[in-house]
Amino acid sequence: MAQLTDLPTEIILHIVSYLQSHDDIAALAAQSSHLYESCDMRARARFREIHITNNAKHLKSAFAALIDILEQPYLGRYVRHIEYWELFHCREPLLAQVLTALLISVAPEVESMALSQPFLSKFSVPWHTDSIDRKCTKFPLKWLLHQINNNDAFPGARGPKLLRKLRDVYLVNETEDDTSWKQDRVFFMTDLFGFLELFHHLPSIESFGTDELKTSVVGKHGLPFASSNISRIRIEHSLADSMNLARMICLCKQLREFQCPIGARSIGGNLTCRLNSFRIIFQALLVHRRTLEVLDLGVTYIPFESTPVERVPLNLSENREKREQMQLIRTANEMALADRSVQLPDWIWDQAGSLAEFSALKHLNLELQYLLYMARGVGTARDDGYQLVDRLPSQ
Amino acid sequence: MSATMLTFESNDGVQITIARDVAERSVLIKNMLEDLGDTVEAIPIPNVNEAVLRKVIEWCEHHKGDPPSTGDDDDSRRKTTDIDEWDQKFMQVDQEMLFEIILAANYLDIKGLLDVGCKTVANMIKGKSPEEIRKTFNIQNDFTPEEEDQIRRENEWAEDR
Repeated sequence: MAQLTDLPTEIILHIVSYLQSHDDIAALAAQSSHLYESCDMRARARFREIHITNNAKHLKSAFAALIDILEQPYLGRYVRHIEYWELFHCREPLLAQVLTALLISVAPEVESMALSQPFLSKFSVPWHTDSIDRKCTKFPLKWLLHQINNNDAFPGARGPKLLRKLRDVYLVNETEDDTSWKQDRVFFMTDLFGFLELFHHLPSIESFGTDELKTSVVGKHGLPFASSNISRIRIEHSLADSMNLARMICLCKQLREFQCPIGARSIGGNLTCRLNSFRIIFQALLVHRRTLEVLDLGVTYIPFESTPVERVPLNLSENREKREQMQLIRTANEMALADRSVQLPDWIWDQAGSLAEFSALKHLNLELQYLLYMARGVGTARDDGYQLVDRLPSQ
Repeated sequence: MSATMLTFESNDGVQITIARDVAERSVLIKNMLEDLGDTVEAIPIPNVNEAVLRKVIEWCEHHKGDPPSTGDDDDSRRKTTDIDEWDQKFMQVDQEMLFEIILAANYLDIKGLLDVGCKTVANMIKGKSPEEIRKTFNIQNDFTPEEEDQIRRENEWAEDR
Protein backbone atom coordinates (compact mmCIF):
# COMPACT_ATOMS: atom_id res chain seq x y z
CA MET A 1 0.00 0.00 0.00
CA ALA A 2 1.41 3.37 -1.05
CA GLN A 3 2.21 5.66 1.87
CA LEU A 4 3.64 9.15 2.28
CA THR A 5 6.96 7.65 3.33
CA ASP A 6 7.08 5.55 0.14
CA LEU A 7 7.34 8.62 -2.05
CA PRO A 8 10.79 9.29 -3.51
CA THR A 9 12.73 12.25 -2.14
CA GLU A 10 12.10 14.40 -5.22
CA ILE A 11 8.34 14.19 -4.64
CA ILE A 12 8.71 14.84 -0.90
CA LEU A 13 10.69 17.97 -1.83
CA HIS A 14 7.93 18.98 -4.23
CA ILE A 15 5.38 18.68 -1.39
CA VAL A 16 7.65 20.58 1.00
CA SER A 17 7.95 23.39 -1.58
CA TYR A 18 4.23 24.06 -1.04
CA LEU A 19 4.71 24.39 2.72
CA GLN A 20 5.58 27.99 3.38
CA SER A 21 5.62 27.87 7.16
CA HIS A 22 8.75 26.56 8.86
CA ASP A 23 6.49 25.25 11.59
CA ASP A 24 4.79 22.86 9.17
CA ILE A 25 8.10 21.75 7.70
CA ALA A 26 9.55 21.14 11.16
CA ALA A 27 6.51 19.03 12.08
CA LEU A 28 7.03 16.95 8.94
CA ALA A 29 10.77 16.61 9.62
CA ALA A 30 10.04 15.11 13.03
CA GLN A 31 8.22 12.11 11.51
CA SER A 32 11.01 9.85 10.29
CA SER A 33 14.68 9.91 9.37
CA HIS A 34 13.86 9.94 5.64
CA LEU A 35 11.57 12.96 6.04
CA TYR A 36 14.08 14.60 8.39
CA GLU A 37 16.82 14.40 5.78
CA SER A 38 14.49 15.63 3.03
CA CYS A 39 13.42 18.68 5.03
CA ASP A 40 16.99 19.94 5.52
CA MET A 41 16.18 21.64 8.82
CA ARG A 42 19.73 22.66 9.76
CA ALA A 43 20.26 24.65 6.59
CA ARG A 44 16.80 26.18 7.01
CA ALA A 45 17.75 27.31 10.50
CA ARG A 46 20.93 28.92 9.23
CA PHE A 47 19.38 30.81 6.33
CA ARG A 48 15.97 31.74 7.70
CA GLU A 49 16.98 35.23 8.83
CA ILE A 50 19.77 37.37 7.49
CA HIS A 51 20.88 40.56 9.20
CA ILE A 52 22.93 43.09 7.32
CA THR A 53 24.49 46.22 8.76
CA ASN A 54 27.73 47.98 7.98
CA ASN A 55 29.31 46.31 10.97
CA ALA A 56 32.18 44.05 9.84
CA LYS A 57 30.86 40.91 11.52
CA HIS A 58 27.43 41.22 9.93
CA LEU A 59 28.92 42.02 6.54
CA LYS A 60 31.10 38.96 6.73
CA SER A 61 28.34 36.52 7.60
CA ALA A 62 25.93 38.03 5.07
CA PHE A 63 28.60 37.74 2.41
CA ALA A 64 29.23 34.10 3.34
CA ALA A 65 25.49 33.41 3.09
CA LEU A 66 25.36 35.03 -0.33
CA ILE A 67 28.24 32.93 -1.64
CA ASP A 68 26.66 29.73 -0.31
CA ILE A 69 23.37 30.58 -2.01
CA LEU A 70 25.10 31.38 -5.29
CA GLU A 71 26.80 27.99 -5.13
CA GLN A 72 23.61 26.19 -4.17
CA PRO A 73 20.65 28.31 -5.25
CA TYR A 74 18.01 26.20 -3.42
CA LEU A 75 19.38 27.58 -0.14
CA GLY A 76 18.01 30.98 -1.18
CA ARG A 77 14.51 29.55 -0.76
CA TYR A 78 15.13 29.13 2.96
CA VAL A 79 15.51 32.86 3.54
CA ARG A 80 12.30 34.27 4.99
CA HIS A 81 13.39 37.45 6.74
CA ILE A 82 15.95 40.10 5.82
CA GLU A 83 17.04 42.95 8.04
CA TYR A 84 19.01 45.88 6.80
CA TRP A 85 20.23 48.83 8.78
CA GLU A 86 22.77 51.42 7.75
CA LEU A 87 23.61 55.02 8.53
CA PHE A 88 24.96 57.23 5.82
CA HIS A 89 27.42 59.26 7.77
CA CYS A 90 30.70 57.97 6.59
CA ARG A 91 32.48 57.79 3.28
CA GLU A 92 32.44 54.03 3.11
CA PRO A 93 30.89 52.51 0.03
CA LEU A 94 27.38 51.29 0.73
CA LEU A 95 28.42 47.67 1.21
CA ALA A 96 25.41 46.72 3.33
CA GLN A 97 23.09 48.11 0.64
CA VAL A 98 24.80 46.17 -2.11
CA LEU A 99 24.75 42.94 -0.11
CA THR A 100 21.11 43.36 0.85
CA ALA A 101 20.14 43.99 -2.77
CA LEU A 102 22.07 40.91 -3.93
CA LEU A 103 20.50 38.74 -1.23
CA ILE A 104 17.01 39.91 -2.17
CA SER A 105 17.74 38.87 -5.74
CA VAL A 106 18.49 35.26 -4.70
CA ALA A 107 15.85 34.82 -1.97
CA PRO A 108 12.44 34.41 -3.62
CA GLU A 109 10.58 33.31 -0.48
CA VAL A 110 11.24 36.34 1.72
CA GLU A 111 8.13 37.12 3.75
CA SER A 112 9.21 39.95 5.98
CA MET A 113 11.76 42.72 6.02
CA ALA A 114 12.86 45.25 8.58
CA LEU A 115 15.00 48.04 7.26
CA SER A 116 16.13 51.56 7.80
CA GLN A 117 15.31 54.06 5.12
CA PRO A 118 17.69 53.00 2.32
CA PHE A 119 18.18 56.50 0.96
CA LEU A 120 18.56 60.03 2.25
CA SER A 121 15.53 62.24 2.64
CA LYS A 122 15.44 65.35 0.56
CA PHE A 123 15.86 67.47 3.64
CA SER A 124 18.32 66.48 6.27
CA VAL A 125 20.73 68.06 8.65
CA PRO A 126 23.93 69.65 7.40
CA TRP A 127 26.28 67.14 8.99
CA HIS A 128 24.56 64.39 7.07
CA THR A 129 24.89 66.16 3.76
CA ASP A 130 28.50 67.06 4.50
CA SER A 131 29.58 63.50 4.74
CA ILE A 132 27.96 62.30 1.59
CA ASP A 133 27.48 63.99 -1.71
CA ARG A 134 23.90 63.10 -2.45
CA LYS A 135 23.96 64.23 -6.03
CA CYS A 136 26.49 61.56 -6.85
CA THR A 137 25.25 58.92 -4.49
CA LYS A 138 23.34 56.04 -5.91
CA PHE A 139 21.54 53.85 -3.45
CA PRO A 140 21.60 50.35 -4.92
CA LEU A 141 19.05 48.92 -2.49
CA LYS A 142 16.65 51.79 -3.07
CA TRP A 143 17.11 51.37 -6.81
CA LEU A 144 16.37 47.63 -6.68
CA LEU A 145 13.33 47.97 -4.42
CA HIS A 146 11.98 50.78 -6.55
CA GLN A 147 12.35 48.69 -9.72
CA ILE A 148 10.70 45.64 -8.16
CA ASN A 149 7.78 47.66 -6.84
CA ASN A 150 7.15 50.07 -9.68
CA ASN A 151 8.42 48.52 -12.88
CA ASP A 152 6.26 45.62 -14.07
CA ALA A 153 8.78 44.69 -16.73
CA PHE A 154 11.60 44.29 -14.17
CA PRO A 155 13.78 42.21 -14.19
CA GLY A 156 13.00 41.25 -17.77
CA ALA A 157 11.75 38.02 -19.26
CA ARG A 158 14.57 35.78 -18.09
CA GLY A 159 14.98 36.88 -14.50
CA PRO A 160 12.69 35.63 -11.74
CA LYS A 161 10.22 38.07 -10.22
CA LEU A 162 11.35 39.19 -6.78
CA LEU A 163 9.69 39.77 -3.42
CA ARG A 164 6.45 38.11 -4.57
CA LYS A 165 5.82 36.81 -1.08
CA LEU A 166 6.84 39.80 0.99
CA ARG A 167 4.02 40.41 3.45
CA ASP A 168 5.37 42.58 6.21
CA VAL A 169 7.68 45.51 6.05
CA TYR A 170 8.95 47.39 9.04
CA LEU A 171 10.70 50.74 8.87
CA VAL A 172 13.53 50.98 11.40
CA ASN A 173 13.76 54.54 12.63
CA GLU A 174 16.55 54.08 15.10
CA THR A 175 19.73 56.06 14.90
CA GLU A 176 23.03 54.64 15.94
CA ASP A 177 23.28 55.82 19.50
CA ASP A 178 20.33 56.86 21.56
CA THR A 179 22.09 59.53 23.55
CA SER A 180 24.78 61.15 21.45
CA TRP A 181 22.54 61.51 18.44
CA LYS A 182 19.68 63.03 20.33
CA GLN A 183 19.99 66.30 18.48
CA ASP A 184 20.02 64.47 15.21
CA ARG A 185 16.88 62.56 16.02
CA VAL A 186 14.87 65.72 16.09
CA PHE A 187 16.12 66.85 12.74
CA PHE A 188 16.33 63.72 10.70
CA MET A 189 13.19 63.48 8.65
CA THR A 190 11.74 60.24 7.51
CA ASP A 191 10.59 60.16 3.92
CA LEU A 192 7.66 57.98 4.83
CA PHE A 193 5.94 58.13 1.47
CA GLY A 194 9.19 57.65 -0.39
CA PHE A 195 9.73 54.53 1.71
CA LEU A 196 6.21 53.23 1.06
CA GLU A 197 6.76 53.72 -2.64
CA LEU A 198 9.36 50.96 -2.45
CA PHE A 199 6.79 48.37 -1.33
CA HIS A 200 3.17 49.40 -1.83
CA HIS A 201 2.54 47.60 -5.12
CA LEU A 202 4.00 44.21 -4.22
CA PRO A 203 1.47 41.42 -4.77
CA SER A 204 1.54 39.95 -1.25
CA ILE A 205 2.30 43.06 0.77
CA GLU A 206 -0.04 43.32 3.70
CA SER A 207 1.33 45.23 6.60
CA PHE A 208 3.53 48.21 7.29
CA GLY A 209 4.85 48.98 10.73
CA THR A 210 7.16 51.49 12.29
CA ASP A 211 8.14 52.91 15.62
CA GLU A 212 9.14 56.36 16.77
CA LEU A 213 8.10 58.13 13.62
CA LYS A 214 8.96 61.80 13.97
CA THR A 215 6.51 64.59 13.41
CA SER A 216 8.46 65.70 10.42
CA VAL A 217 7.64 63.45 7.57
CA VAL A 218 8.76 64.36 4.13
CA GLY A 219 6.01 63.75 1.66
CA LYS A 220 6.37 62.29 -1.73
CA HIS A 221 4.88 63.69 -4.82
CA GLY A 222 3.02 61.31 -7.08
CA LEU A 223 1.77 58.53 -4.82
CA PRO A 224 -1.84 58.35 -5.92
CA PHE A 225 -4.85 57.89 -3.70
CA ALA A 226 -5.98 54.26 -3.19
CA SER A 227 -2.87 52.88 -4.87
CA SER A 228 -1.38 50.80 -2.09
CA ASN A 229 -1.84 47.09 -1.43
CA ILE A 230 -0.92 47.62 2.21
CA SER A 231 -3.93 46.81 4.37
CA ARG A 232 -2.49 46.83 7.86
CA ILE A 233 -0.69 49.79 9.40
CA ARG A 234 0.97 49.88 12.79
CA ILE A 235 2.73 53.03 13.94
CA GLU A 236 3.91 52.98 17.52
CA HIS A 237 5.34 55.59 19.87
CA SER A 238 5.12 58.21 17.22
CA LEU A 239 4.37 61.85 16.71
CA ALA A 240 3.13 61.69 13.14
CA ASP A 241 0.58 64.42 12.55
CA SER A 242 -3.03 63.97 11.49
CA MET A 243 -2.47 65.08 7.95
CA ASN A 244 0.21 62.48 7.28
CA LEU A 245 -1.73 59.74 8.99
CA ALA A 246 -4.78 60.61 6.91
CA ARG A 247 -2.63 60.51 3.79
CA MET A 248 -1.39 57.06 4.70
CA ILE A 249 -4.92 55.85 5.35
CA CYS A 250 -6.06 57.20 1.99
CA LEU A 251 -3.21 55.53 0.12
CA CYS A 252 -4.60 52.08 0.95
CA LYS A 253 -7.04 50.42 -1.39
CA GLN A 254 -8.50 48.51 1.53
CA LEU A 255 -7.57 49.11 5.12
CA ARG A 256 -8.12 46.29 7.59
CA GLU A 257 -6.05 47.38 10.52
CA PHE A 258 -4.97 50.75 11.77
CA GLN A 259 -3.02 50.92 14.99
CA CYS A 260 -1.52 54.14 16.12
CA PRO A 261 -1.29 54.33 19.88
CA ILE A 262 -0.43 57.95 20.53
CA GLY A 263 2.65 58.59 22.53
CA ALA A 264 6.11 59.97 22.41
CA ARG A 265 8.86 57.79 23.75
CA SER A 266 12.22 59.43 24.14
CA ILE A 267 11.79 61.67 21.16
CA GLY A 268 11.45 64.78 23.25
CA GLY A 269 9.12 66.43 20.80
CA ASN A 270 6.08 68.24 22.02
CA LEU A 271 2.66 66.83 21.64
CA THR A 272 0.81 69.89 20.49
CA CYS A 273 1.19 69.10 16.84
CA ARG A 274 0.06 65.50 17.26
CA LEU A 275 -3.34 64.67 15.84
CA ASN A 276 -4.12 68.33 15.45
CA SER A 277 -7.30 67.48 13.68
CA PHE A 278 -8.92 64.25 14.61
CA ARG A 279 -11.70 64.90 12.13
CA ILE A 280 -9.35 64.39 9.21
CA ILE A 281 -8.24 61.00 10.48
CA PHE A 282 -11.81 60.00 11.16
CA GLN A 283 -12.97 61.02 7.70
CA ALA A 284 -10.09 59.14 6.13
CA LEU A 285 -11.00 56.07 8.16
CA LEU A 286 -14.61 56.37 7.02
CA VAL A 287 -13.41 55.50 3.50
CA HIS A 288 -12.61 52.04 4.90
CA ARG A 289 -15.71 51.63 7.07
CA ARG A 290 -16.59 48.28 5.53
CA THR A 291 -13.17 46.65 5.77
CA LEU A 292 -11.58 48.00 8.95
CA GLU A 293 -11.28 45.17 11.46
CA VAL A 294 -8.82 46.54 14.00
CA LEU A 295 -8.70 50.13 15.17
CA ASP A 296 -6.40 51.24 17.94
CA LEU A 297 -6.02 54.92 18.68
CA GLY A 298 -5.12 54.89 22.32
CA VAL A 299 -2.72 56.92 24.39
CA THR A 300 0.17 54.78 25.49
CA TYR A 301 2.67 57.19 26.89
CA ILE A 302 2.82 60.92 27.43
CA PRO A 303 5.97 62.51 28.90
CA PHE A 304 4.92 64.23 32.09
CA GLU A 305 6.54 67.56 31.24
CA SER A 306 4.62 67.97 28.05
CA THR A 307 1.28 69.62 27.63
CA PRO A 308 -1.63 67.27 28.22
CA VAL A 309 -3.29 65.56 25.30
CA GLU A 310 -5.21 68.02 23.29
CA ARG A 311 -8.90 67.60 23.67
CA VAL A 312 -11.03 66.81 20.71
CA PRO A 313 -13.60 69.59 20.80
CA LEU A 314 -16.98 67.95 20.91
CA ASN A 315 -19.07 71.09 21.22
CA LEU A 316 -18.16 72.93 18.03
CA SER A 317 -20.94 73.34 15.52
CA GLU A 318 -20.63 71.40 12.28
CA ASN A 319 -20.09 74.66 10.38
CA ARG A 320 -17.42 75.90 12.67
CA GLU A 321 -15.66 72.56 12.65
CA LYS A 322 -15.76 72.50 8.89
CA ARG A 323 -14.54 76.06 8.64
CA GLU A 324 -11.61 75.41 10.94
CA GLN A 325 -10.83 72.25 9.13
CA MET A 326 -10.96 73.88 5.70
CA GLN A 327 -8.46 76.41 6.97
CA LEU A 328 -6.22 73.61 8.07
CA ILE A 329 -6.60 71.81 4.77
CA ARG A 330 -5.79 74.92 2.78
CA THR A 331 -2.62 75.41 4.76
CA ALA A 332 -1.73 71.75 4.46
CA ASN A 333 -2.35 71.68 0.74
CA GLU A 334 -0.31 74.82 0.23
CA MET A 335 2.50 73.19 2.14
CA ALA A 336 1.99 69.99 0.19
CA LEU A 337 2.34 71.92 -3.05
CA ALA A 338 5.41 73.66 -1.77
CA ASP A 339 7.24 70.47 -0.82
CA ARG A 340 5.54 68.38 -3.52
CA SER A 341 4.03 66.00 -1.01
CA VAL A 342 0.97 63.78 -1.15
CA GLN A 343 -2.35 65.57 -1.28
CA LEU A 344 -5.63 64.28 -0.05
CA PRO A 345 -8.55 64.09 -2.43
CA ASP A 346 -11.05 66.91 -1.88
CA TRP A 347 -14.06 64.67 -1.44
CA ILE A 348 -12.57 63.25 1.71
CA TRP A 349 -13.94 66.33 3.51
CA ASP A 350 -17.49 65.37 2.59
CA GLN A 351 -17.29 61.94 4.19
CA ALA A 352 -20.11 61.60 6.71
CA GLY A 353 -20.65 58.79 9.16
CA SER A 354 -20.25 57.53 12.67
CA LEU A 355 -18.62 54.68 14.52
CA ALA A 356 -21.75 52.56 14.00
CA GLU A 357 -20.93 52.16 10.30
CA PHE A 358 -17.67 50.30 10.79
CA SER A 359 -19.30 46.98 10.07
CA ALA A 360 -16.19 44.78 10.02
CA LEU A 361 -14.70 45.93 13.34
CA LYS A 362 -13.53 43.15 15.62
CA HIS A 363 -11.11 44.97 17.86
CA LEU A 364 -11.52 48.55 19.02
CA ASN A 365 -9.28 50.49 21.35
CA LEU A 366 -9.96 54.20 21.40
CA GLU A 367 -8.94 56.98 23.68
CA LEU A 368 -12.19 58.18 25.30
CA GLN A 369 -12.53 61.51 23.50
CA TYR A 370 -11.91 59.87 20.13
CA LEU A 371 -14.56 57.31 20.97
CA LEU A 372 -17.09 60.01 21.84
CA TYR A 373 -16.24 61.97 18.72
CA MET A 374 -16.57 58.96 16.43
CA ALA A 375 -19.79 57.87 18.12
CA ARG A 376 -21.28 61.33 17.66
CA GLY A 377 -20.41 61.24 13.99
CA VAL A 378 -19.55 63.90 11.44
CA GLY A 379 -21.35 65.55 8.54
CA THR A 380 -24.93 64.51 7.93
CA ALA A 381 -24.49 61.57 10.30
CA ARG A 382 -23.74 63.87 13.22
CA ASP A 383 -26.15 63.49 16.09
CA ASP A 384 -25.46 65.53 19.20
CA GLY A 385 -28.16 63.71 21.14
CA TYR A 386 -26.78 60.27 20.32
CA GLN A 387 -26.82 57.34 22.70
CA LEU A 388 -23.42 55.68 22.80
CA VAL A 389 -24.99 52.24 22.79
CA ASP A 390 -26.70 52.95 19.45
CA ARG A 391 -23.49 54.05 17.84
CA LEU A 392 -21.28 51.11 18.61
CA PRO A 393 -20.37 48.80 15.76
CA SER A 394 -22.47 45.67 15.55
CA GLN A 395 -19.80 42.98 16.06
CA MET B 1 -1.42 11.13 -40.52
CA SER B 2 -1.09 10.17 -36.90
CA ALA B 3 -3.66 7.99 -35.19
CA THR B 4 -6.32 9.89 -33.23
CA MET B 5 -7.01 7.04 -30.81
CA LEU B 6 -4.44 5.15 -28.78
CA THR B 7 -4.67 2.06 -26.60
CA PHE B 8 -2.81 1.60 -23.31
CA GLU B 9 -2.43 -1.44 -21.16
CA SER B 10 -2.23 -1.18 -17.37
CA ASN B 11 0.08 -3.43 -15.36
CA ASP B 12 -2.90 -5.65 -14.48
CA GLY B 13 -3.58 -6.31 -18.16
CA VAL B 14 -6.57 -4.06 -18.86
CA GLN B 15 -6.64 -2.17 -22.17
CA ILE B 16 -8.00 1.39 -22.31
CA THR B 17 -8.43 3.38 -25.51
CA ILE B 18 -8.28 7.19 -25.40
CA ALA B 19 -7.83 10.16 -27.72
CA ARG B 20 -4.27 11.02 -28.61
CA ASP B 21 -4.49 14.66 -27.43
CA VAL B 22 -5.60 13.41 -24.00
CA ALA B 23 -2.72 10.95 -23.79
CA GLU B 24 -0.28 13.67 -24.77
CA ARG B 25 -0.85 15.46 -21.45
CA SER B 26 1.80 12.96 -20.39
CA VAL B 27 5.20 14.18 -21.50
CA LEU B 28 6.53 10.61 -21.28
CA ILE B 29 3.90 9.37 -23.75
CA LYS B 30 4.23 12.40 -25.98
CA ASN B 31 7.98 11.85 -26.32
CA MET B 32 7.47 8.12 -26.78
CA LEU B 33 4.98 8.69 -29.62
CA GLU B 34 7.38 11.05 -31.31
CA ASP B 35 10.02 8.29 -31.23
CA LEU B 36 7.65 5.48 -32.14
CA GLY B 37 5.69 7.21 -34.86
CA ASP B 38 2.28 5.67 -35.48
CA THR B 39 1.42 2.59 -33.53
CA VAL B 40 -1.64 0.39 -33.48
CA GLU B 41 -0.48 -1.87 -30.69
CA ALA B 42 -1.43 -1.34 -27.07
CA ILE B 43 1.21 0.66 -25.20
CA PRO B 44 2.08 -0.95 -21.85
CA ILE B 45 2.16 1.26 -18.75
CA PRO B 46 4.06 -1.09 -16.44
CA ASN B 47 3.96 0.96 -13.21
CA VAL B 48 0.26 1.80 -13.10
CA ASN B 49 -2.77 -0.38 -12.39
CA GLU B 50 -6.18 -0.04 -14.02
CA ALA B 51 -7.93 1.92 -11.25
CA VAL B 52 -5.13 4.49 -11.06
CA LEU B 53 -4.77 4.69 -14.84
CA ARG B 54 -8.50 5.43 -15.20
CA LYS B 55 -8.20 8.21 -12.60
CA VAL B 56 -5.18 9.68 -14.39
CA ILE B 57 -7.04 9.56 -17.73
CA GLU B 58 -10.07 11.24 -16.14
CA TRP B 59 -7.83 14.10 -15.07
CA CYS B 60 -6.18 14.35 -18.49
CA GLU B 61 -9.60 14.41 -20.21
CA HIS B 62 -10.74 17.28 -18.04
CA HIS B 63 -7.51 19.24 -18.52
CA LYS B 64 -6.82 18.48 -22.18
CA GLY B 65 -7.45 22.09 -23.19
CA ASP B 66 -5.06 23.59 -20.58
CA PRO B 67 -2.10 25.54 -21.89
CA PRO B 68 1.10 23.48 -21.63
CA SER B 69 3.31 24.35 -18.67
CA THR B 70 6.56 26.04 -19.56
CA GLY B 71 8.50 24.03 -17.04
CA ASP B 72 10.78 26.80 -15.82
CA ASP B 73 8.13 28.91 -14.13
CA ASP B 74 8.79 27.73 -10.58
CA ASP B 75 10.70 30.78 -9.51
CA SER B 76 8.59 33.44 -11.06
CA ARG B 77 5.22 32.08 -10.06
CA ARG B 78 3.92 32.56 -6.59
CA LYS B 79 3.61 29.09 -5.21
CA THR B 80 0.21 28.75 -3.71
CA THR B 81 -1.68 25.76 -2.54
CA ASP B 82 -4.93 26.92 -4.06
CA ILE B 83 -6.59 24.09 -5.94
CA ASP B 84 -9.49 24.63 -8.29
CA GLU B 85 -12.83 23.14 -7.38
CA TRP B 86 -12.87 20.33 -9.92
CA ASP B 87 -9.39 19.19 -8.91
CA GLN B 88 -10.34 19.31 -5.23
CA LYS B 89 -13.24 16.97 -5.85
CA PHE B 90 -11.07 14.80 -8.08
CA MET B 91 -8.55 14.44 -5.24
CA GLN B 92 -11.12 13.32 -2.71
CA VAL B 93 -9.87 9.74 -2.71
CA ASP B 94 -8.34 7.53 -0.06
CA GLN B 95 -4.68 8.09 0.80
CA GLU B 96 -3.46 5.03 -1.04
CA MET B 97 -5.08 6.22 -4.26
CA LEU B 98 -3.77 9.75 -3.68
CA PHE B 99 -0.16 8.55 -3.42
CA GLU B 100 -0.63 6.15 -6.35
CA ILE B 101 -1.88 9.05 -8.48
CA ILE B 102 1.12 11.16 -7.44
CA LEU B 103 3.53 8.33 -8.29
CA ALA B 104 1.81 7.74 -11.65
CA ALA B 105 1.86 11.47 -12.47
CA ASN B 106 5.54 11.54 -11.64
CA TYR B 107 6.28 8.46 -13.77
CA LEU B 108 4.16 9.61 -16.72
CA ASP B 109 5.50 13.16 -16.34
CA ILE B 110 2.17 15.00 -16.05
CA LYS B 111 3.26 18.15 -14.28
CA GLY B 112 -0.19 19.61 -13.64
CA LEU B 113 -1.45 16.44 -11.98
CA LEU B 114 1.73 16.05 -9.93
CA ASP B 115 1.34 19.64 -8.70
CA VAL B 116 -2.28 19.12 -7.69
CA GLY B 117 -1.40 15.88 -5.89
CA CYS B 118 1.50 17.44 -3.99
CA LYS B 119 -0.60 20.49 -3.09
CA THR B 120 -3.28 18.18 -1.73
CA VAL B 121 -0.74 16.45 0.50
CA ALA B 122 0.75 19.81 1.55
CA ASN B 123 -2.72 21.00 2.56
CA MET B 124 -3.15 17.86 4.66
CA ILE B 125 0.07 18.71 6.51
CA LYS B 126 -0.53 22.44 7.04
CA GLY B 127 -1.30 23.56 10.57
CA LYS B 128 -0.95 20.09 12.08
CA SER B 129 1.21 19.14 15.06
CA PRO B 130 3.82 16.40 14.59
CA GLU B 131 1.49 13.97 16.43
CA GLU B 132 -1.44 14.83 14.16
CA ILE B 133 0.69 14.33 11.05
CA ARG B 134 1.86 10.97 12.33
CA LYS B 135 -1.74 9.92 12.89
CA THR B 136 -3.02 11.30 9.57
CA PHE B 137 -0.43 9.50 7.48
CA ASN B 138 0.17 6.54 9.77
CA ILE B 139 3.93 7.12 9.74
CA GLN B 140 6.24 4.72 11.57
CA ASN B 141 8.56 6.56 13.95
CA ASP B 142 12.10 5.28 13.33
CA PHE B 143 13.92 7.67 15.68
CA THR B 144 15.43 6.64 18.99
CA PRO B 145 14.12 8.69 21.95
CA GLU B 146 17.47 10.53 22.05
CA GLU B 147 17.27 11.45 18.38
CA GLU B 148 13.70 12.58 18.79
CA ASP B 149 14.67 14.81 21.67
CA GLN B 150 17.56 16.29 19.73
CA ILE B 151 15.36 17.05 16.72
CA ARG B 152 12.80 18.72 18.95
CA ARG B 153 15.49 20.99 20.40
CA GLU B 154 16.96 21.70 16.98
CA ASN B 155 13.59 22.71 15.58
CA GLU B 156 12.54 24.97 18.43
CA TRP B 157 13.33 28.05 16.35
CA ALA B 158 10.68 27.11 13.82
CA GLU B 159 7.79 27.18 16.27
CA ASP B 160 5.23 29.98 16.36
CA ARG B 161 5.96 31.09 12.85
